[in-house]
Amino acid sequence: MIFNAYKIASGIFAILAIAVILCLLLVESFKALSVVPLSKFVTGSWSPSSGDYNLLPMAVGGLAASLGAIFLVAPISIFSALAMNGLIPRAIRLVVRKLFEMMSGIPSVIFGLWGLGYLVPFISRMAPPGASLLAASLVLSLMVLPSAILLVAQAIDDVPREHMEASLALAMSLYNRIRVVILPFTWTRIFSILCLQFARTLGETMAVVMVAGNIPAFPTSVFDPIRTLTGHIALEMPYAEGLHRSSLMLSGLMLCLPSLVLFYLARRFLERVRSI
Amino acid sequence: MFSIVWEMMSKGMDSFSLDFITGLPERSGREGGILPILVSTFLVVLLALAWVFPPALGCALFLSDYRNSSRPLQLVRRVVSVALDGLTAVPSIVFGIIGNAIFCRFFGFGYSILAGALTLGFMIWPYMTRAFEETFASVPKDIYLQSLSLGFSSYTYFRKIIFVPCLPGMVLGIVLALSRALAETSALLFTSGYSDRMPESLLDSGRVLSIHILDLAMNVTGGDQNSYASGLVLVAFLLILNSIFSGAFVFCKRFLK
Repeated sequence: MIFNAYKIASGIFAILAIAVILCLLLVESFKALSVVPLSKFVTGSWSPSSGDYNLLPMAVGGLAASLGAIFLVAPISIFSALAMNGLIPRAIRLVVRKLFEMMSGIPSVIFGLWGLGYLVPFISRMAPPGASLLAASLVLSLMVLPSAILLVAQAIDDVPREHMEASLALAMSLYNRIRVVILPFTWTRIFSILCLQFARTLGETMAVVMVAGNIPAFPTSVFDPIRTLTGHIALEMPYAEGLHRSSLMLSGLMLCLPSLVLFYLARRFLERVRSI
Repeated sequence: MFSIVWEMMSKGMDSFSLDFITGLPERSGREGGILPILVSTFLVVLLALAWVFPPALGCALFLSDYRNSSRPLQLVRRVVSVALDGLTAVPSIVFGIIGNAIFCRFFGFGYSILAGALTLGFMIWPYMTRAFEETFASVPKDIYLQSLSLGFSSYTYFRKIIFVPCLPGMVLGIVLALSRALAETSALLFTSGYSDRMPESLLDSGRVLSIHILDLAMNVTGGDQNSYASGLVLVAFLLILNSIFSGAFVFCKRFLK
């Protein structure tokens, strides 16, 4: 009886935790929303000391970096997962899989460090200043690539065996096998994996702060420095007070909502897979 | 990919030595070692694991035991599952500012190891619970039904029936959460703080390894060298931890069969 109570209590604790986080974000950001008119958050400039709270460049910058990363990751992960499942011999495949598993455990701050020491100087030789949207996207895509490949490969592994064997018996070409057998079975799962990885890139802070340049302005090309919402919070939080602080809470809320939606979408897609 | 590891190895090895691990940082980390940083890293991470273990286990048991239960409980189960997904979805920097608002300001812990550990616990909670749940779900259904028909209480079922076969999976879940926690930077930036002194109590501020790397690379000019060396320590530690425990996991599985 006590044991049951313990289980239910910890379940309720989890619900409370997420509820408190969301409520606190709402309450804190409402402090800013109730004083500063809404239009101030999407127009003008960012200078909290003179009452300008334009968060739009940060939102756009973060979104651009994440989208860029996902556009890089999507084809690469699908093709390497396909290669891992059909083209390369078993022994090499196991080694590659172990390598990717190791890679997916590397902390994001290490990717940032690598980007800062290697990628940024490299880009700055082509187009200064180097710390840019491009660098942020590349670092983010490298960061999520190993786990994306592993998950997509797992999805392809789970294609029912009889269908794979039937396609082999019909002597389908590789292209047809992918088109007729593999993709219809896996596209929902691949989509949900990409949703989750997209949420991860949106929420990533440290790797991006180190390579993105952190200037709060709209990027006009891929070589322009950007600032993301996450980096924005990380950089300004230590000295923020009052309205400034609560505008940072608002950016936290702006980060949370899309990633909650993405997680919900991913789960819905997974449930569709199960019901097939 | 290889270039990342290579860079880390080649640049880190130069300033890596035993003194680096056991020394105190000098001139804000440009010289000297990382002993206080290692100590506060372990304090934060172990404290977080210790407090979050009971609720994470409870959640996992809740999710796996009420799979086929009555309608209202089924609903609660679904909400708990969604809440855990939500905890995974919240970006770590948001955990950081919320932890700062609740633990550092509201409870008045200030920048401290305690506040960092409490915040970090919430972050690794869903990972731990999902790993535990997966292990419990791998128990054959017959065993569950038999224990129900014998009238075992749910505590007996957990402690006497599934505890030992699930132990390797649970340890693996803890290690997974541990490596998540070690890799975490942004949630701790505003909760456990920057100070690189040796922590004297749990209410002292302590800098964790990943923040040390960030700070040396970003804010301290000439700190690159030690930043790479600290990165090497972090990555090496994570890899060793993971390989030992996944090896042990495979071994245990064989042994228990």
